[in-house]
Parts: sequence; C-alpha cells; structure tokens
Amino acid sequence: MKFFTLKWGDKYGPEYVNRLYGSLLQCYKKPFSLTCYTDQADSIREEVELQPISHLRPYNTDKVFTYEKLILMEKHESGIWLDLDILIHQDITDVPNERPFTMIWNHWNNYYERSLKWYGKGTSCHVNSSFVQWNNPEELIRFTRDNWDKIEWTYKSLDKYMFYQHHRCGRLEYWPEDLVSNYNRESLKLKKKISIFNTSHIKANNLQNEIGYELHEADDDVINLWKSYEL
Amino acid sequence: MMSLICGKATNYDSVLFLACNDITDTLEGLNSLGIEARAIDYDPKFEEKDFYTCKDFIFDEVDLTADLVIHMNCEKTYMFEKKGDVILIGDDKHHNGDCKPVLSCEQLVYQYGIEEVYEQGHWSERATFLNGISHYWVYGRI
Repeated sequence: MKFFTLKWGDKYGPEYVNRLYGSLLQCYKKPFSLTCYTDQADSIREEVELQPISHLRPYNTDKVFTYEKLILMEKHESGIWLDLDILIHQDITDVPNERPFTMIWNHWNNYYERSLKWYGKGTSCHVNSSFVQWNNPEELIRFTRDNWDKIEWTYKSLDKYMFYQHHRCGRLEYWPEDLVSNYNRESLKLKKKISIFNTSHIKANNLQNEIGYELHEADDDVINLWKSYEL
Repeated sequence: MMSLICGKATNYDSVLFLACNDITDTLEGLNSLGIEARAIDYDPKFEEKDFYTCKDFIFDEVDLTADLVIHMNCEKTYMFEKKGDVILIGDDKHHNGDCKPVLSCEQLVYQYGIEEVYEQGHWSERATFLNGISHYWVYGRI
C-alpha cells in the first residue's frame, strides 16, 4: 500500500510525520510506503520518502484548502492519503487495496441539523478528507481540471468542494462506520480504529461554541499512545 | 425587494430565479398572471417542488432560457453565463458560506459584464447593534 501525507508551515512538527509512520508500522501489517510532501524535511525519519510540496501546487491560490490532495491523485494512480492529525490505534491491515475514491462520512453529526438545514447557505459539509483512498479517479480529476476556475471561486476547502459537487451527484464512496471516529465529537475517547482531531473548521466557520483539541492537546492516554509510535 | 422584482417581472413572458430559496408564493403568483416563472436552486428540499429545478446552475447542465434571469444571491456563486436581461442581487454580509461578498453595484456590473444598466440601487439593514448589511442590485442587460 502507498500512503501519502502533506506537511507545510509550522502548525505541525516533524514528530507528527514520524509518529504517523510509526502508527502504520504498528497497525498495518502488509508492506507499505509513506511519502510526505513537505516544505520542511528536517528531522523526519529516513524511512519516510520526502517530496517537495511545491510539486502539488500548480495553482497560486489560498482557496480550496488542501486542494493539493487533488493534485496528488494526478501524480499517483492509487493510494491512501492521511492527514497528519489522525491517530491510528487499531489494526487497519484489512483496508482493501482497490477501493474507488472513498472519504469519511461524518457519522458523528446529525445530517439534517448540521448539513441539510443550512445547505443553501453554502456552509454545509458532511464529508471529511483526513483518510481517503483512491484508485485511478479519472472522472474526478477531469471534472476538477475542467471546472477549476469555478471551484477556486466557490469553495474554501477541498471537503466543501467534494460535498457540494461530488456527494451531491452520488460520486463518492464512504468508509464503513466502524473505521473512523471523531475524538472531539465523540466523548473525547479513542473509538473504532482511527481517530481524527479536526479543529480547523472551528476557526474557518467561526463556531464559537464548539471545543476542539488537537492531537497534541488530547488527554494523557492519547498522548502516551501517540508518543509510543515514535520509538 | 421582492415587490420591486415582481414589478419588473410582469413586463416579461418568462422569468427564471436563481439561488432564491423558497419563493413558492411569488412563483405561483407570477404563473397565475400568465408569466412562465420558475426557479433553479440546488438545495435538496426543492427536489419535488413545483416550479423548481433542483440543480447547481453553475456546475450542472441547466436550461437558463428566460426573458429575465434574476440571481438572488450573487455573493454565493460563480458567474452564470447567459445573455439578456438580468436582475443581480448580492450582499456584503461576509457569511462564511459566501464565495465573494458583493460590495457595490459596480462590482456586479463588472463581474457579469453588464452592457447596459437600466436601474440599480442598494439598501441597508442593521445586523447587530454596531454593524449593518448592505444589499446591492442591478437591473440591466448582459
């Protein structure tokens, strides 16, 4: 399996990459590689293949947050991309090799209250791109290329683009519900096999009543497990 | 604003509303006057609703044929491609679902390449104690 991750700026340090690799060693029992596209290669363990993130930025834009993931699929026919701020804590060896484009469905949120109710406002998003598999998604790549000007104008993030255009048209697959949980939305516990720690949407959408902890801010049991992956 | 729009719409045989949310009463009223009035809005709640086409008029294939096209929320979408008479409406609310806030009538004229402006205007409302929202509209021909 080919895994990929992206790291730029100073929000996350190299330990995020190193521990992500360690978590795969622990929880994925088949041969694999991890490639990190980054602008800062210092202190990343040598088993991780490094590539310049500039290779994923053909467009000079600060919109469509993490659109680099779309370009990643143009360069690599298949694989799984992982956000740095996820914690894999159970065995995921049985993740199939050849799923079509598969995202996370936000099972932890009420679909009507959180998304459908506000659909026309343009604020909805019920999908998450922290753990995504793809396998030669020609239609998705072509649609993105053909409509890039509209996409860049319209969407602040990749997830919103995927939700409003591709989920709406039935083009997306989703992981089984027992794979991914949301630490901040599900009792601050590690559930299922992978936990996500998304907080970027809180600031982006000005959700003043929502509390979110980054992975490095989680409770001691989580931190200890995460640090153990660096050994 | 709706009364102003309906006043203009009665001068046309067919009218198309875009990104308009629920304006069932207006659509029924115009149709009862013999005006072919319909709407395109991608919110799934309009899937089974009379006079509505539930599609994204920017990304999907849609029929924009009408004597007058009225875009009710220009701040929320890319520019549609259609020649003819239009009413464009947008605001500077800076809602987090907006693509690009509309800050003036001139912005609408520029973005859509309006060749002739028949009328234009704006109105404001108070949103909070200190801040307000301005709405801009342009009636013209692309």
